[in-house]
Amino acid sequence: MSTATLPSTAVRIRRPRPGRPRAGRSVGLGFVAPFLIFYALFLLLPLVLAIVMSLFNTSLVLPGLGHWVGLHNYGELFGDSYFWSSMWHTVLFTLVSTPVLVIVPLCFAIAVYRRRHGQWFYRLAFFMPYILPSAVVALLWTWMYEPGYGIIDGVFGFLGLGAPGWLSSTSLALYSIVIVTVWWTIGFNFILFLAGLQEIPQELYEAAAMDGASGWTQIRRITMPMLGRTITLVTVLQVIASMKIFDQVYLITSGGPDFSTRVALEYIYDTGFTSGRVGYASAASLVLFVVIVVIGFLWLALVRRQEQGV
Amino acid sequence: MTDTINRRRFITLAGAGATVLAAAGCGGTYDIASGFVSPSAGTSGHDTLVYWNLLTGGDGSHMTAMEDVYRRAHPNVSLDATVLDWGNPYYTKLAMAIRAGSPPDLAIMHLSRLNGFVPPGLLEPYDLGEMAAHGMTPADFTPLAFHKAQFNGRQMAIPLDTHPFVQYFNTKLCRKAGLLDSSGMLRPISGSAQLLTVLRKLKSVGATPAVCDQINDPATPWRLFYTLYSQAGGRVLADQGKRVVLDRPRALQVLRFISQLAREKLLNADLDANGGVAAFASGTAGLYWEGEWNVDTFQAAKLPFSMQAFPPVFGSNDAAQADSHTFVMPIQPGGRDPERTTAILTLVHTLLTQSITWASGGHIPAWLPVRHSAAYQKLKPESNYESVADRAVYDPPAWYSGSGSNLENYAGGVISGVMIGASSPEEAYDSMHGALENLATQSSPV
Repeated sequence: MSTATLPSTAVRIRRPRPGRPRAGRSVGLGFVAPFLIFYALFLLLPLVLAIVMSLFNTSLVLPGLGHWVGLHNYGELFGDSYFWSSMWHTVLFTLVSTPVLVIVPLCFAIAVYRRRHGQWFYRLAFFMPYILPSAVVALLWTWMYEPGYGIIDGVFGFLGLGAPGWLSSTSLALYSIVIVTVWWTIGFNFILFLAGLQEIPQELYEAAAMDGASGWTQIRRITMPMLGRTITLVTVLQVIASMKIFDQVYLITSGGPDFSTRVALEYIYDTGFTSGRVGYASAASLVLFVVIVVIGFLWLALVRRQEQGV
Repeated sequence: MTDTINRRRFITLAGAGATVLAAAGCGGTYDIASGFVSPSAGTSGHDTLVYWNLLTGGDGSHMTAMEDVYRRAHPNVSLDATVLDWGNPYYTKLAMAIRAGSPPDLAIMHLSRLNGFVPPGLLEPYDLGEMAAHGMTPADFTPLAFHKAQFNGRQMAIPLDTHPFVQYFNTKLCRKAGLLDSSGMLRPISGSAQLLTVLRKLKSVGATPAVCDQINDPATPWRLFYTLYSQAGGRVLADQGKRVVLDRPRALQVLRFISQLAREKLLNADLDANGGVAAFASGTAGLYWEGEWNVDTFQAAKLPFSMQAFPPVFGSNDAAQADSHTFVMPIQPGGRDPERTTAILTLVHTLLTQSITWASGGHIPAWLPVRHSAAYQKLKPESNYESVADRAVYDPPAWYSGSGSNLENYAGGVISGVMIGASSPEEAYDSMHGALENLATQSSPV
């Protein structure tokens, strides 16, 4: 845990010299072949199939691709208010969860890093929920949110506060899912930040301390700038992870009440597997895919600019 | 699944499982169960019958008891019963298993779900001659359920029961409110005014007048609405779901009534399914509106209660939303094997003859030799609402309708807002109509 693996331009892969024997290249190909085969079979092929199916009215319960419908699925998608409200729920979830899942673990990481003793305990405590399977997390929180006899309702009742309908209120349910997600995944970002902190040379702090800089100034002037790249990385990983929200929603609310927590992937699952409209669901998943790819490219652009700036 | 799994076997299975997961793109959970764990137990042999159902709780234990009767009578056949999650997840898995060529031999299906399975050819019809040879003739079944299971003259399912939306009542509270007759039954209620009077009397004795849950359970609001709306003579869909014929005046009449219940605090709907059961089981609620399947729970809680058909609130028509559990035979990849069909029909017949066990969970048996038996008539309160089986209203036929379907999810989600007083009847009508139009205009996958 003492070394961090962060994207770095320091390592440059040397290009093969011209005139290198061809035998070496085919050996290399042999080494990457297992990966390439899996990549082609389980990533490229499904992607191509999804593109093809999105142009047909493919059904889950009928054999074959169905009939060619051209761009009809996309046309229907763009006019489907249920799809757009589910896309909005995904975006809203991302907008709410990302800042929390970046800022809170950053604060925790800095606080833990500055402690001399018992770091292992905090590392373990914060990371522990992350290793739980989504089904366990969903069960735990469904019980805790349970109206009447859940522990959260109990605490609210003890404090004399009326218990809100955590999972039953159409305006609150999505935020309840955010709370679950924060608790569950905070450890991953926390570990990334901790690794980033360990990369910062200790001498900088020693020098600053000798110059009389306070702890807060050290954080502001040394830690934050040196962590810049980690923060970008964590933010973008978090945005992508949040855009892919599905498990918690499916397991806890199935998109209810009245579709107020139905996120894009839940919509895709519902239309593809429940309604059996695989062609239409493929079109919807490609739209989500494009959105996530665009965000990925924005990240690349951002990182490039940052690296040129450093 | 009974073999003990030691470390080596676990590692082998886990490794094999991981490969299959990867190969199936993470969709192969059930293939792992049947394809990797069971071969040593002989799944592929003719002596194993695979039976899928979605029955849990009381229903699940009754069904297990019925299966055990079959197991004792046929020790040479290994009956492999798989219980899966109720509603959409079950039907999704069943459809995919059939399409993938590894279906169970027999499955439980809601009658209202046949519309999504028969048109795409996922089910094998029963032969009436073969059924008769195994002791099952059309005259042995509740006619409505039996005929609803026919498509183009072919028998696609064998009904096990009819399970309507009913009215549970707390006898102690109802007596206190002066609502019981000399035999201890709730005096017949007819019309919305009488129902309101009953609820207000219950309120005046300090009871929660009526309980009907809606949180994360859109099916129950749908059952309440569709019961009342059918009593008012309304229809929801036409042309196998391609056309929405939701009748505005009738729907509004029903929604306004539900809204009035919420406004006058005559209905507590701020509960999920378990909460609804708990509220009535606690003995503080006068009436409880739900399907009849919770009777076991209230008996176990020693609650003073009884049950009756849902009262006629609109018109004199005491229709009630209902559905039926049925037995279906999924299409087998290699075609029908007569020997296997014989085994399946024997299993179905054995389970049907155990209908009294099934009836104790609240369901009205479709098997008339039991439904007309003295033993069932003595089964109280279960047989109080027996006649509802003949006037049950099933969900309108469409590829997206039926138990736990999108129709129930879309419409129920809207109705639940009215039940807690969060949305007005007019708003609810508009959103329900919009949601139904959305479903009706989607291109059908079947």
